[in-house]
Amino acid sequence: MTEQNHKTEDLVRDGLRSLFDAKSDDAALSAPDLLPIFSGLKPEPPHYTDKTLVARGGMKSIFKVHDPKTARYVAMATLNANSPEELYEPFLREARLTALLDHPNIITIHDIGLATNSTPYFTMELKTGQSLNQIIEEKFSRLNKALPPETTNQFVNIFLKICDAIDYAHSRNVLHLDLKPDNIQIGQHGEVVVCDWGLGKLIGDAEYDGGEFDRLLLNPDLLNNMTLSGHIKGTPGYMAPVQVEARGEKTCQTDIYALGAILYNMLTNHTPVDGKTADEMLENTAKGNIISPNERYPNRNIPPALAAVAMKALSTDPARRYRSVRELRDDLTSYLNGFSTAAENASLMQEIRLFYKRQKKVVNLSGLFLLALATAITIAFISIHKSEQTARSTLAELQKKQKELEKRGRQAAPAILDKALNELAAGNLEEALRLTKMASVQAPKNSSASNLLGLLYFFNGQYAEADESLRAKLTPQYRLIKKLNEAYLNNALTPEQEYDHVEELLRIYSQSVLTPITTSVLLHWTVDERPEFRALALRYLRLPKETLTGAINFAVAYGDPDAVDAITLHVLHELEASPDWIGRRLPATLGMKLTRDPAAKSRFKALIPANLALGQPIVRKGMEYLHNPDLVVDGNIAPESFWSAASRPATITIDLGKVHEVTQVKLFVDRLDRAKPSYAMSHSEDGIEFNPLPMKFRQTIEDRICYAYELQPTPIRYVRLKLLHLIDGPPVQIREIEVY
Amino acid sequence: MSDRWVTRQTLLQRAKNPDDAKAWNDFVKYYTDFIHVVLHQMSFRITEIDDVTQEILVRIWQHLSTFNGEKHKTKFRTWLSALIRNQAINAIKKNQRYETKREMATNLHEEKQIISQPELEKIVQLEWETHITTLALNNIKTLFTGVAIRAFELSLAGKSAKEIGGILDINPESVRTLKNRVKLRLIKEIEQLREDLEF
Repeated sequence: MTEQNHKTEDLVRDGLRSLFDAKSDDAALSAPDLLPIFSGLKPEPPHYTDKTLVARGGMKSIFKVHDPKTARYVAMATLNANSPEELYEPFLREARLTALLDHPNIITIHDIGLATNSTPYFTMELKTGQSLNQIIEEKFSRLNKALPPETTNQFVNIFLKICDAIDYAHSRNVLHLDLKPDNIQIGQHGEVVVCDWGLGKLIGDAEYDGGEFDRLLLNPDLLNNMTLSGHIKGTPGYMAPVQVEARGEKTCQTDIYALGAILYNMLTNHTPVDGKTADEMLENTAKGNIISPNERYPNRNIPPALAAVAMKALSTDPARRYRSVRELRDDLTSYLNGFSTAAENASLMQEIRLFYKRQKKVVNLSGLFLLALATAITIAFISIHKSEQTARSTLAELQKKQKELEKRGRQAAPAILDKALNELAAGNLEEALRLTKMASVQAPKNSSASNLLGLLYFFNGQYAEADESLRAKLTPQYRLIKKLNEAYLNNALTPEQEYDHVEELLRIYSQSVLTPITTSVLLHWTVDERPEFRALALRYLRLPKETLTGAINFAVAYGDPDAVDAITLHVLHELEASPDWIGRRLPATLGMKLTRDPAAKSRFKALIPANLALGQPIVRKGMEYLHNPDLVVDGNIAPESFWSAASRPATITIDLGKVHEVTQVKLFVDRLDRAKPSYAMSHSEDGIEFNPLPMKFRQTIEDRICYAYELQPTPIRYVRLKLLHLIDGPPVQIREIEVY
Repeated sequence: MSDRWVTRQTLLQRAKNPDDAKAWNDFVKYYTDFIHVVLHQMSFRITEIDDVTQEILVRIWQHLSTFNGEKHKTKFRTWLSALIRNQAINAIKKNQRYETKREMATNLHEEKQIISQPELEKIVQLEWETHITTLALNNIKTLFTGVAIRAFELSLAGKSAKEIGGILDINPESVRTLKNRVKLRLIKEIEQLREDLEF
């Protein structure tokens, strides 16, 4: 038997291996039974006539057609013309899935088939009426935003029917996953029908005991792959946080969230989650940024019980939502019947208020007596429980606040860490350390924060603290740092060993992805007191362009003039390797100022694009650009170097210092959506007579626009930029003017 | 951290980032078993295997630095087996230096036969393919029911749809559908893993 098992195992392994080089495209083509529904249907001429378009969506169209067999009109859904064949199976699947569900509040499917050209269609009952969305909009616009109790109750009744439908679907292991007011039809006689089960899915792990349905069809393996593709599916605003995650597992709670969103919409005519863009909405969904309907509209008299039900269903944590649609439904029924809902966490007063509401007639009859009795009971009840309750609620409140703070800290930590990394990239180690400490205190379990903290302590020579912080999830790079740190801590290294260890470390880091962390390590030994370590560090130094300025800052802050010379030289090589890089001005200017080597100084100078505005009275210097100028010339990134002009047409004349043979002038302008400026450039040799520069092309580069002007080699000393007109908007910011 | 620091997102690239502990762990996880098996086939003792594996892992990882995104799939296994072989030889030499004195005295020293490159390449090829395909099957198991995976495995073992249907108590038509679904997903997973791990 064991031998038999081994043999089977071997066969399986060999079989698996044979798939090593298989191509998924070929495999899909050679397996028609991967389209189980489609391949089970045969094209035949449809017998429907009298086809008129009712609605067209992104994927499918709905027609009204006449069925001569039953002599009635039905609705027919088809895929839009020219739909890719990949959609056939999901489309048919929606129909099959819906057909599984037999419930008065779920759309009924009559027929599924293929037309003569093999395109799929299905027919269903033809519903006249409005979508829930239209009804909500209409009520709110007519009733001027505050709903009277009758309308609210009417909405709750509609909502209960939706709950019935979803409760039934869940009992059949089907999830809808795209519930929203648009997908709910309200008929002329008040029938409520849940439509559009296109994203629906069978719950994978639930056992279904066959019976009236085809077992093969109900096999989750057949149906579920369609929604397992990892894409986000659903409608922002109604999608549960789990649907925002690429591979979040969908459960009944996912639909309960959407039900909560529908109820929220009924109460406020607003989706619970806000956002200008779909992305922003998704982000807010994931974060659970939802304001309760009462807080949002305090003057609308929204019943607190209903708001509480919606908010409970909309809990970010699925475990805090209702466990089932039935539970949600029961809570609402008790609202309609005048009992306090579980979500409301009814207080005694609330119970009495509701008791009064329920028993209005009786209470009125018994008049003051009952009221007095109720009050007496209340007072007794409250006095007994008050002290205990206060203590309990204060403690609970405190704990809640503490938890909230911790949670906020955890959420803020990555942003603080980001800032720390920016400081690190800019060469400000102290600031980086301060921020990293903060992030690490906020989120003690964040290994990125604690490891970075360890590294920064290591840089500082605080080896004990570094050892303490470098503890969790160490990558090989961090492990090397920790090892070296331990050795320093124990004073266990000869200078030779230290040299070898540092070399190994630098080699590994120079081969790593260049991040602010990597570069900071590569830079660390360039300012070492020992010349041999400096030489070593310079050998392995690699600086991405974005870090050049930071590297110079770092050298100035931590190194002696020799180290500054060495690093600026390195920066110079990097700059000269890409002389057209747009951000070169700042590192080149810094390098020119800081290096002591005259040759390097002049090489830096050559890299700085000419940009000196001279002799123009309308041009002012400094922060005045804030006072509504039309034109701003931004020479450096530093704010005090802005040049600005307020009157129109604003001109700037740039003196190149001496006459150059110029063939090209480039103007870089910040790309602003609203400002639509137009420019004219001219040039001059003597500063008196200016000739226009012909524009060659315009190009958008990231966040700026480049206007390029080309000419035959011409002797030029002055370049003049004139801003002709500007439609209202923020000031135009000139980034660079480059002369070649 | 802003995107400009991260250019590509394959596992190999992410494993080079000192701050991406998860990528490094995945990298180690995916390679360790495979190296263990190969070393075992090269008759390394259990006690030695862990050390040599560590060495090899670091070498593979270091090689990432020269990897420029151009894949040479045909060369991957040649390269990998040469790397494993060199590390193995190093380890044996190191041990021999240490053991020679002792063992010469007792005259128990036996020459350890190091496997030839072409031979090792065959082993590496076989084990890598097995490793990747098994890994892929494990990865996709959560996406399917046990029945589907079982049907697929039985079909690999050469059972007919009818036989499998008998064993699992489902009709042969379902068997075919299930196994093809698993197969297609598996092939995709294998492609993904190879994209992620070969260079």
